[in-house]
Parts: sequence; C-alpha cells; structure tokens
Amino acid sequence: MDSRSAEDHLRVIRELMERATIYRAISAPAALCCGFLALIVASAALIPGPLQPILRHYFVPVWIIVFLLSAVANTLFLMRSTGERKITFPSRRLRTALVAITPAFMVAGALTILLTRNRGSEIFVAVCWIGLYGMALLSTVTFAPRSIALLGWAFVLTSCLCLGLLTQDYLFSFTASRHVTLPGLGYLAMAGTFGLYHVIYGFAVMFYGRHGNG
Amino acid sequence: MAATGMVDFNKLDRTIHEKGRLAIMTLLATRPRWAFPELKSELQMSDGNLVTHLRALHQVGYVAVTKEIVDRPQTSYSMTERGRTAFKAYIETLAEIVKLGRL
Repeated sequence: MDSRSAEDHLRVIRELMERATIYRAISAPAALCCGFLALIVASAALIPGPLQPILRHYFVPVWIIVFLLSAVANTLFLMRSTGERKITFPSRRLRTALVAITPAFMVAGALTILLTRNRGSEIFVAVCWIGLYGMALLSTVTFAPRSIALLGWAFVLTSCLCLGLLTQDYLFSFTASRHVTLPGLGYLAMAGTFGLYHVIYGFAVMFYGRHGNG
Repeated sequence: MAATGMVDFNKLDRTIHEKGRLAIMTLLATRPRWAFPELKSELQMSDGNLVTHLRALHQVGYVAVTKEIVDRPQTSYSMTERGRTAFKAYIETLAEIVKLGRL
C-alpha cells in the first residue's frame, strides 16, 4: 500500500465518521410548512380583515398553535424519513437532538409566562422566542449540518439586533410613525424570522440536497 | 517480514482492510450500538453482503452481536474492546504510511 491509498483510506474513514454523526433535526419540507404557515398567520394579522383583531388579541396562543402544528409536521416528516430507511422512530440521533434543544425551549416557556403578564409585550415575547429558538438550534451544532448552524446564527443575531433596537423611545417612534401596534410588530418579527428564514432554509436544503451538498 | 521502510505492512489488519468491513468498523466506532437496518441504510449494502461482513468481523472477535425483542426482534452490533484496539492500530498504521510518503 502506498501513501496515497493510505491517505484515501483515512479520508474515507473520516468522511464516514462525520456522515454517521451528522443529524438534521428539521427536515426541509417541515421547514417549508412551518415557514409558510408563519407567513400566512402573520399576513392575516397584519393585513386588515376579519381575523386581524382576534389574531392580534391572542398573540401567544396563536403562535403556540403554529408551533404545535409545525412540531407535528416535522415529526411526521422525520417519521416518514426513518420509515423509508427502516429505522425505529424516534432514532437515537433524534433523541440526542431533543435532549440538546430542551433547555432552550424550557427557558422560552418560562419567559413567555413571565412576559405575557403585561400587555404590549408581544414584540419582546417574539424576540425571546427568536433568540432562544436560535440557541436551541445551535445547541445541536456538534452533530448538525452546516445549514442548521447557519439558521441558528441567523435567529440569534436577529434577536440580538432587535434587543439592541428595542428601546422604549425607538418603539414609540416606530409604532407612532407607521401606525403599527406592538402586537403587529411582534407578528412582523415572527414573519421575518420563523416565516422567511424557514422558507429560505427549506428551499436551500432542497436545492443543495439535490446537488449532493445537503 | 514484509516490511518497507519503517512500516511493517503485516501490521495492516487484513480483516479490517477490506472496503466493506472497514466501513462497518468505522461506523461501529462512532457510537456504542448500531441496529442492523441503520447499518444497512448508512452503508447502502445488501442484506447478504452486510451479514457476511458482520459475520467475518464477529468471528475474529471485533464485533459483538445483541439480539433482543423491542416491539419486534432486533439485532444490533457493537465494537468489542479487541475490535477497538485493532481498529486503532489499523488507523495508526495508515497514518504511519502517509507520514512515510511525505518524508
């Protein structure tokens, strides 16, 4: 055996080990479902219509329903994927991912309860969800593909940017000049992140997946 | 003694060196247990081919087999201590060959 073929063997070992430990906890079709659902809900809340007052009044319950529907969609897509590969559901890698993301979701739940005690806190609730969702994704970074890490960073950075901008004076001038209410601003933030970012992620993973770069 | 330069090629484990078995050993090194369908799906091997390689690795004591019933009968595979030592030695030998080639 020469050094070139030894090097090839080592490369194959490394690639196989990396591939075996990588796990995509959000499937591309589920991301598209979640993204479009978030965009539809946010549009209904932002564009004047019969649903607007209800959606604006029940900001947190509405997004909890969206979250649950998205979680169900993701579970179904992951189940289909494991079924195709004849693997028991939930797979070991899915369980590892769930353990990794649970702390961030717990903090998000606690902050939601705390923040929703005050009216007009919708935008702050949204920013907390955005940041903690990003942190949940980043907590899987040791075994997640690069696209999940990028998605996580996009959420975290957006959250940091929003927190930097959300001074009371700025909020007051922003909402006053554009006739946007605080719940409306919350819907805008949710549409831009949970809606748009997931749609971009879903299409990117589908496109690169087809071109062998998943 | 089939040695070239400083590397003793006899150290290169022939059981592991075969492409299919090397892939199996690599996967088994990544986590404690692999179910048969998971190995099959990851390696894209036929049932017969995978069983043959796993049997060969089991016969030399590199792989342990566990059969259990979780909803349905399931066979899972893990790397033994002997297998781990052999796999480590195999990688070290490859690394030595690469190093020698760079001198």
